[in-house]
Amino acid sequence: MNLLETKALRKQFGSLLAVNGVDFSISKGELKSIIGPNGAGKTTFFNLLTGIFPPSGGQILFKDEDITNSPPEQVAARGIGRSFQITSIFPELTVFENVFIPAMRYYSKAEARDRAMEILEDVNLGGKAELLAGNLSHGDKRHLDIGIALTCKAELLLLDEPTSGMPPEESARTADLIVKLKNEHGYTIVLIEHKMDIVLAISDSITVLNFGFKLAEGTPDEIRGNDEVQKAYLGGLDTSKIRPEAKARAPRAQQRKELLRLEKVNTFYGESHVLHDVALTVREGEVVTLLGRNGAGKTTTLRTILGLTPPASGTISFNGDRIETMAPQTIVNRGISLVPAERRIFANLTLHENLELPFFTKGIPASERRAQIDQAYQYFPSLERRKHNKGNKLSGGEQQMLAMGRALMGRVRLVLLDEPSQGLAPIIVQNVADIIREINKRGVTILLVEQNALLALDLADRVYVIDKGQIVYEGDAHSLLADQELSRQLLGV
Amino acid sequence: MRQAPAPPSVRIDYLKMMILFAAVAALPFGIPYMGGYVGLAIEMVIFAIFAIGFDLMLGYTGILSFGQAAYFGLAGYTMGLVCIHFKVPIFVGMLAGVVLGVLAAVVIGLLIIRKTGIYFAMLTIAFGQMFFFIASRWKDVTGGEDGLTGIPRTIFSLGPFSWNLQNDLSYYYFVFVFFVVATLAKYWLVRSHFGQVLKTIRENEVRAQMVGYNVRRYKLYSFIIGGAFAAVAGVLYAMFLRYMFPQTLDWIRSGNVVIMGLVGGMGTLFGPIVGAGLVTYLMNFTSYYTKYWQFIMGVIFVVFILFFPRGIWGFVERNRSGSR
Amino acid sequence: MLLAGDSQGSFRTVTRANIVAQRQWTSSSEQAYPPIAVRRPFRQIHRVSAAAMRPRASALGASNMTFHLTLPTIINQLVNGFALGTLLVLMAVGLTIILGLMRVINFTHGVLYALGAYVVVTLLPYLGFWPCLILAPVILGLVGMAMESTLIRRVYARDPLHTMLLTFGLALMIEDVTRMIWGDAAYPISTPAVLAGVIDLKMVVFSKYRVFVIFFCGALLTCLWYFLERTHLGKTILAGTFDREMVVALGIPINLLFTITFGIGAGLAALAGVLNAPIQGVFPPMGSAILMPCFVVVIIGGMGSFWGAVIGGLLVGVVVSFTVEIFSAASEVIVFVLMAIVLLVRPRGIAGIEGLLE
Repeated sequence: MNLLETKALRKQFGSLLAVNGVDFSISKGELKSIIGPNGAGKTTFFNLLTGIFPPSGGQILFKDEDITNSPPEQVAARGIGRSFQITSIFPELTVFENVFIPAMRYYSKAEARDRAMEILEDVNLGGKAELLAGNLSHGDKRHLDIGIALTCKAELLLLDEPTSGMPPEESARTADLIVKLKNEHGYTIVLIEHKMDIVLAISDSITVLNFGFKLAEGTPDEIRGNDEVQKAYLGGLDTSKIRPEAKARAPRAQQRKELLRLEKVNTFYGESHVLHDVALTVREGEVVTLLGRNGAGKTTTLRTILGLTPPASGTISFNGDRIETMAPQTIVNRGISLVPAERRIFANLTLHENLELPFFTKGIPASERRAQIDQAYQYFPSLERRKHNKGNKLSGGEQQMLAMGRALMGRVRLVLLDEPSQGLAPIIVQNVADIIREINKRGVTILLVEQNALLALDLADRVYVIDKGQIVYEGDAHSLLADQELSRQLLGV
Repeated sequence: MRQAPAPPSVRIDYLKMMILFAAVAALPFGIPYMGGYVGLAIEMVIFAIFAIGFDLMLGYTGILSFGQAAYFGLAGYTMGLVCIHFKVPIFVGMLAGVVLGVLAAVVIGLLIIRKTGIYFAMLTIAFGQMFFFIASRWKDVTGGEDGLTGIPRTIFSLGPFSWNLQNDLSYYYFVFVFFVVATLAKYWLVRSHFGQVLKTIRENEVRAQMVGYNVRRYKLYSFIIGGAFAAVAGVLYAMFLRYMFPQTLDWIRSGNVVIMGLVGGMGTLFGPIVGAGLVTYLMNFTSYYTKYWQFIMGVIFVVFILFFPRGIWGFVERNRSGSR
Repeated sequence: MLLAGDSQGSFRTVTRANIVAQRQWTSSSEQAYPPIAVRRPFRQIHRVSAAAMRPRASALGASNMTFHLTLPTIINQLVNGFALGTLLVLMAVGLTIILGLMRVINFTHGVLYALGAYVVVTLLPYLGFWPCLILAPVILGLVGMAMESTLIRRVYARDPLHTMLLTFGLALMIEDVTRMIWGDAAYPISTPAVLAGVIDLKMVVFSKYRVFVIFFCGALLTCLWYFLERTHLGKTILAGTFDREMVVALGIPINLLFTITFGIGAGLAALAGVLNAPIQGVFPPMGSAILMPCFVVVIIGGMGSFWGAVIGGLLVGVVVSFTVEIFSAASEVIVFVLMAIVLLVRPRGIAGIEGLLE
């Protein structure tokens, strides 16, 4: 019998179809993982199941009852517990109260006390019951988050990246905990997780989402052998499709000057340790690619360089100067700019105004500004026609081009490109790739972050691979390409 | 399995409260030595009741209402009007005042409880100010700017029980009874399941909803209870002055309650009481020496926000219990 | 609510008969501060509200419940409503931009408005009205910037409620500072000579100054709109309202942007104070009195929206001025009723931005 079932579940945000007709089911006692590249709609899917957003269409059945439009508190009361991607606990209450107060919703006071202690034992926090939850370590907080999800007489657990921000040993502990919850306590579990080793090791079955669609479903072995899935993750990594010049390209620029250098960089979000001793170098005029699965720390690396999330330790130097303690505006004015993965176009300004915005304090003469904007329109001819359209009237591809154009304004030496291919049709991806190459030819250095390995390797002079916040591979693109097994291990499923 | 942590000791809390009650009971005799008089003591205790209710909202539920004076004043006016025009016993007038104050909180609460944070705060100010203008402009009923005079403070009688309130000292102990009830009520509320849920909402609203609590309803209840405390304080205040005037409903008055809570320390048992007493005393004291007391209140407020956002009691508790 | 409260007097229909009385009120000592009524047991209650500043309605024979919505009355009330409305818009636009960009409810907006008017009190004898109209906004713009960069900035990292409470404390302080410097008494400010008197169109008669206020504010709002939509700085502020972090990522110094925005808001508030001084005179609680209608305009218009503030301000102005004609006692309360209706129909206000402050 299916414990939970969705039929053609759909969610639309404006023009974006975040979840597009997903049929999903899980039977009692099963542990099913949901994986997929960034923006695949995984967390949105959880939000639909738990009633945070009303779905735009489709149906959700729990124990054969329709819960499609139930508010979150009723979904919880029916026995669906959920943990959160960003730790969600009650920081100023004790660990015990964190589970005791929710448990009182379902049990008498005395029962709730016992149940709360039981839950804390289950999530390995029995000895820390009297501490203030906000003072726990990051890992313990993640476990407490799961503990809170258990309080609602849960039969079904929805765990959203329970190991995020954890070092490997702790992730393994969490994986053990999840298996224990399933085997010893009989919970049915849906798991969203980026760490492939964990997913493959503990799941009974896996559902792959991509662009809001269900791409594939099956046992871990079936998923591993599924070409479609590998393609989604690797961007269709297929050596035969790589252009000959990419393979033949000699490693240029070895002797060129270093432009950017990261050494032993550690970055945290709150207490979540995201980057572990990251080191990388970019030389003048290069295209360097940072590859990695989603959740590996790629975007964080870029944010750290730009000073948006300053590093806790380590050094970053740009053009010979240390920049790790500088404010973003100073760093940007030295010639680094960012193209964020979500584009982040200002929807309330026109396309042209978006392009002008970076000139705010750069002290660049008007003639040069105009020349630069004209240059941007030359790179992206399709933008000029839509010059006076507001940002929210642009298509995904146009937004990507605009974000790239915007990043070139000012005297830019290094562009940090975050997943330019995300959410774009293949033909547009090819177009974007050509433009990146063109920009690079004119002397702009590029640090490209990608999941789409095909695009990235096609462009790159050198490649770094990051996994779980650590640099695990460094080398030139074609050596990585040549080793299919290695690339699959680092980047695929 | 390990033992669940023992629930916090009730006995110590009751002991603390007994000491507090004894101290407050002795206040009318101590206050002349502090340059005050019984009237000031009455006012301090009335505002303590007001602040206790406010703390339930901001300190325990995390919702900031900047319009609490509306329910305070509305209840006071209603009590006065009912007593003056219908010549009913004081008890009936008080009941009518509190009921109307609570009703207003229910209606406004229903309208705005979906909003959060400063949006919610702004709406409470605006709606609160509506009552201010009704009081100041509906001259035929409220007396307008001249205020409502002739509110009775005579003999409180309920069944066989009666209490002559005309004397200030006697009235002080009448108010004191309400203070004791309010303090205990808050203590029980906070320790009850209901109060615990409020704390989870303060800490993390989304999560509280995700474990099955109807957050909006709890917030609404909290808002109504806060309104009820304000209404009780308002009724007592009207009787105390035997007079009501529009400024009792003004947003500056609402702001004063926020100051009291903040100076004392939100989310603590005694903080709002200490804050209300201290701020009321200080306002009176400074206004004795200078007419610019509002400047001094502003300075105190700014200093507390910048340097002691947890207030006096919060500061004391935090320092005493180390890491907690 | 002072503007509305005053409406019995000066925003009232300007008929030929009461123009004389009105001119007298605005320029004579009739507006003297009423003696502090010592009838309450404690001195801290001795705040005299804005409403208490209002001349007794009966003195001007204003509380006539009879009304005739003839064409001249309608035109007249529209003029009054727009004069009141444009002043409110001037205030509310500053509030709403600060709210949109910085997520701060600025309680000091009212006292900055009052300070603007007090600058006129001090400088009028030396400079005359027109230089004050320029100097006051500049001076208070700088005061606002100083306040933002030294005090308010310290609490941005905390709960937004703290910023709001901090500005509340500052507002209390500043209001008393105005009392310390200029005293409790009200100062009447005479209308500049060029604008004294009325425009007589036979059928209807307008106060010249009101008409000037409308056109001046209208021009100023057009400039402001131009500034926001067409200049680099303005567009950057709009961009910051939409996505603050991305503005930082483009290398724009956000702190500077905050300070400038706060300064602009303060300057606009001061300007509204200057413009209103000849209409209502200058007195200490004028700031706290105008704050509420401004909040209501922001809520009705929708948090953070320029056009919302414009529409909301004009709507409030017109509704108030017609209510004054029809049932003057309700002229303040009507604003809140309007707010409640708007919120029931459109929970985000007329042009509220989705997701902002929610």
